[in-house]
Amino acid sequence: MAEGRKRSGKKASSDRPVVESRRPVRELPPRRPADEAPPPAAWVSREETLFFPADNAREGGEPSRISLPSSGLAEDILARAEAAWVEPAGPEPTAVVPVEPAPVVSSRDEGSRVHNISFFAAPTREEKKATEAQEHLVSFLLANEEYAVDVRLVQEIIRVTEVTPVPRAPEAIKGVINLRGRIIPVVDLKRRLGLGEVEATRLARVVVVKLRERLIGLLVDGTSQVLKVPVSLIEPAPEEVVEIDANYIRGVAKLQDRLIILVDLPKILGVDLREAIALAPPI
Amino acid sequence: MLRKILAVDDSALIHQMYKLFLSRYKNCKLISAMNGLEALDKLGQEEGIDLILLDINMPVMNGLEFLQRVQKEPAYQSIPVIIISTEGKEEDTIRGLKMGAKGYVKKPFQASELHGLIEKITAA
Amino acid sequence: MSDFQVSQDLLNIYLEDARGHLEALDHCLLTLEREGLDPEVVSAVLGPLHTLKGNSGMMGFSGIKDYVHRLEDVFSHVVEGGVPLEPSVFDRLFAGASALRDAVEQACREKTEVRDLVPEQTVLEMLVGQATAKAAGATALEALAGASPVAPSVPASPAARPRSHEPKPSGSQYVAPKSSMVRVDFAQLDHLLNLVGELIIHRTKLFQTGKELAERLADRNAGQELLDAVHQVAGVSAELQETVMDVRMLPIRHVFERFPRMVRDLARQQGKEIELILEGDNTRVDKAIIDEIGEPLVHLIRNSVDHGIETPATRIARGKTPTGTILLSAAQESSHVVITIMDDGAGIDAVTVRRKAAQRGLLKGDESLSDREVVQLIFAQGFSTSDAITEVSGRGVGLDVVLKSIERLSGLVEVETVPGVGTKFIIQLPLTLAIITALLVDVGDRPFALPIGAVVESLKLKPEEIHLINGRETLRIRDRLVPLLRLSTLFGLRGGGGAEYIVILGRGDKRLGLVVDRLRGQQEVVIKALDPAVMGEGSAVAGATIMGDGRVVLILDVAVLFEGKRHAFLHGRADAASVVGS
Repeated sequence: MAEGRKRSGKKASSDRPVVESRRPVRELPPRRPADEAPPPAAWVSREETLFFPADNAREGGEPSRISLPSSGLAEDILARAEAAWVEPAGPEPTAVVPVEPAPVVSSRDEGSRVHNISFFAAPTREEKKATEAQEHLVSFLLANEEYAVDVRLVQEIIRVTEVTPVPRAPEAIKGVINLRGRIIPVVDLKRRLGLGEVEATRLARVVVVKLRERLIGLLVDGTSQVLKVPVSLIEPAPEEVVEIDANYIRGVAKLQDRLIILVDLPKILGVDLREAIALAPPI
Repeated sequence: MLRKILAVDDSALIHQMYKLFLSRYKNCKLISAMNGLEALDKLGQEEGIDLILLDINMPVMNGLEFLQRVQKEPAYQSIPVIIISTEGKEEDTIRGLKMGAKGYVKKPFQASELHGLIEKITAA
Repeated sequence: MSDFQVSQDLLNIYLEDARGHLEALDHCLLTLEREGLDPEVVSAVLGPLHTLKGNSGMMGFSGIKDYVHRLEDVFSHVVEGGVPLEPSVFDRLFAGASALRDAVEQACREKTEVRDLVPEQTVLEMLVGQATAKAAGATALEALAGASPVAPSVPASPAARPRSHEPKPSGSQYVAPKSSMVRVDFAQLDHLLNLVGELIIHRTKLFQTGKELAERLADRNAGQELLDAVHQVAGVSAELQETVMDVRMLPIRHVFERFPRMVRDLARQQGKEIELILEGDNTRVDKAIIDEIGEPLVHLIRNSVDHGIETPATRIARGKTPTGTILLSAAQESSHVVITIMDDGAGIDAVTVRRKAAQRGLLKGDESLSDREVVQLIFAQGFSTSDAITEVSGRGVGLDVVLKSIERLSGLVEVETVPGVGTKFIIQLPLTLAIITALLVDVGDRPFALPIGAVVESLKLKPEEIHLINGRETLRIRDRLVPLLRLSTLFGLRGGGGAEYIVILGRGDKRLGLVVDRLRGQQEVVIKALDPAVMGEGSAVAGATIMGDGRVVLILDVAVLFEGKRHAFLHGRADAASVVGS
């Protein structure tokens, strides 16, 4: 087409200046006569000429292009066009702003999640403040001792229903149950912690926890309640108390006359949670 | 008061982002179209579209052609159009502006930038 | 820069889209390489690249975005002739496409850009630089894409994956619109399927109860109405079940699409000429299968390339065409999908297999196996193909892993071969995984389920028909000797005593008799996922299902039952071997 329209978007070099939202549109030196494009065919409007400088402005093979700020109103942009300033792209002797290629992280930064994500700001999370002061826990009984886990792990607590044993399953796994159409494993926590075995009494319960999208039932002797424990009352476990492997304990909370042992559930179930992918049927 | 926004883009991802970005406009219905032809359809079906977010590069009917047709219809002419532009396609954006689009924003854009533009344009 | 976490939903959408675009890129490169420069083919890829660029930018993956932008440049130069389409150029473009794919997948896994694409980008820039130098001083470059706004934009003739049904004049745009499709989260679909599954369970109960009730009602009309209503529900839920299962079915093309590229790359690496022909890629298959069958297929195709197809020189010496052919086909046969991988290569030599098998102790006492049976041993555990099966040596691929993967999908695989002529792998898979018909049995008052596909027959146990052969209980039936396995023993359950039954299971040529207490009949069951934590060593449990009364019933893993038994004879109870497979 005689308009002299170029295929825009071709950067012949990577140091083409990128105009970012916060930077104002650059002021340009007035057009030098030498750069003036020979007028294209008569029917092309004057405005067209402004925006599509002719080919011979390409020295050294740099195609000229239009630059626009990252957003704008029609009235502003078009008004600028009227003023007959045009911004040829390509390296300018004076105004080159070398661009750093966007930082591509070649090694993962542990712990830092840097995203140049243009996302809508989610409402700031308030909860962080709350948990600093207290721990929100669910406690249960195992052999007359009280243990507790983070409430956020617990999905529900149910009475013991019929547990279907699975032949040749690992020792600590008592079997599976039907939880509203979903089949989940039930781990006898006492077996798992080396405290014996949970007996099927009326008081026994299954605490259903969710760990990384997996639902697992914990069979316990009984449950007491949901607790909010101020962090100040939590201490590392004293030696004598510990009947179970110290690795499993996050700390103890001393409330009035009770001692509650806070356990690290993912650690306890760690072996069972081994992603035995090779064994899992797909679905 | 934004009641209905028509978003036209062939990328499902962008539509998903619009859902996020525009969720701040309560009681505003977001209508999606994957190309210009579909967008014309939706314009016909839905009444009271207050704003159009328009991508240019789409199959079947691109944004500029859609815009051209829209400008010819008295019923739709007055709906403000924001062009969603990409780096490198500035000419198309400017063409669109000259055809009557009220503003543009370049991908990738921040939600706040889109909001700012929308507010400026619809405040008028 | 914002420091927000990318939502998984968005990542999933981006990734799915990106994979489609990357496939379009591969397809374009393959076509250009095969058929030479075709502007339409190039323009067909520009659209996907543009969308990928925009999407990547919005996700904050600016390295990827810049790279794709550069790719767009390269392609536009390609059309103008500025970049010659030579093999070395193609190699670089293919490498670049792989790097891009890598970068995208990694970025989605890590939720941030990990892979540095600058080296590849530099390569592209060089290509463009050479092209621009050529074009300097030339007249204005013709715009390639970007139809003028005045002319109606015309979509391309179907280049990659045509999805629209409207006739499209040839032009310069890209893949047809997706507006006739709906994007559904697979998890949602699974949930829907679960609900349907429940419905099926309750429908049966409703039906039975309805019938009983209807008979007892004094008012015959009301009874009939009840029955009618129940029939309706049954009918609708059956159709619902079929429809939802159908929705899960996708064309196997999704899996096959990657292979032409893979074969091309491998062939080049090994200095071979190979043509991959795809057939029946419209065959529809459950998504769960599509997700899992890819890897086994990769192994089998690699096998054909590595060990099957010979070098051009060897082929010519053997009177074959220098270019080898691999045919990958899929077809539906009644309730199965059959996938075959056939090559016209060197075939598998039974003598060599026999020797290797004997060396590895897989064959003691089994000299009576026919050639055809012996060749199946390449799938046996412990039989690695890394030693030459044919004359071509190469990296070994574990066919036993392939067998396991396929069996996990409740499928079967077999190999047919003629030395010097070629090899054919035949995979048979059920059309759908989620719902199967099962035979329910009792073992010591506990119910278990066996997939009906594996059941050959069942019969009452007659003690006089059971013989002890070398310490193993065996059943003589119609001149065949079938080894027996008592589930009560295997599971450590106490037998119920009294009448016993034998369920004969079949796996290929092999037979195994399971001794159970009672047969409970056949039933359709919905397979539920079972947490892998539950499966211990040698677990013979494949999954579980829920009965109408809410009870959990375990589904037995037929392969493990056979294997458990097979290990016995592979490990030295050679005497039993003569009894098996007869």
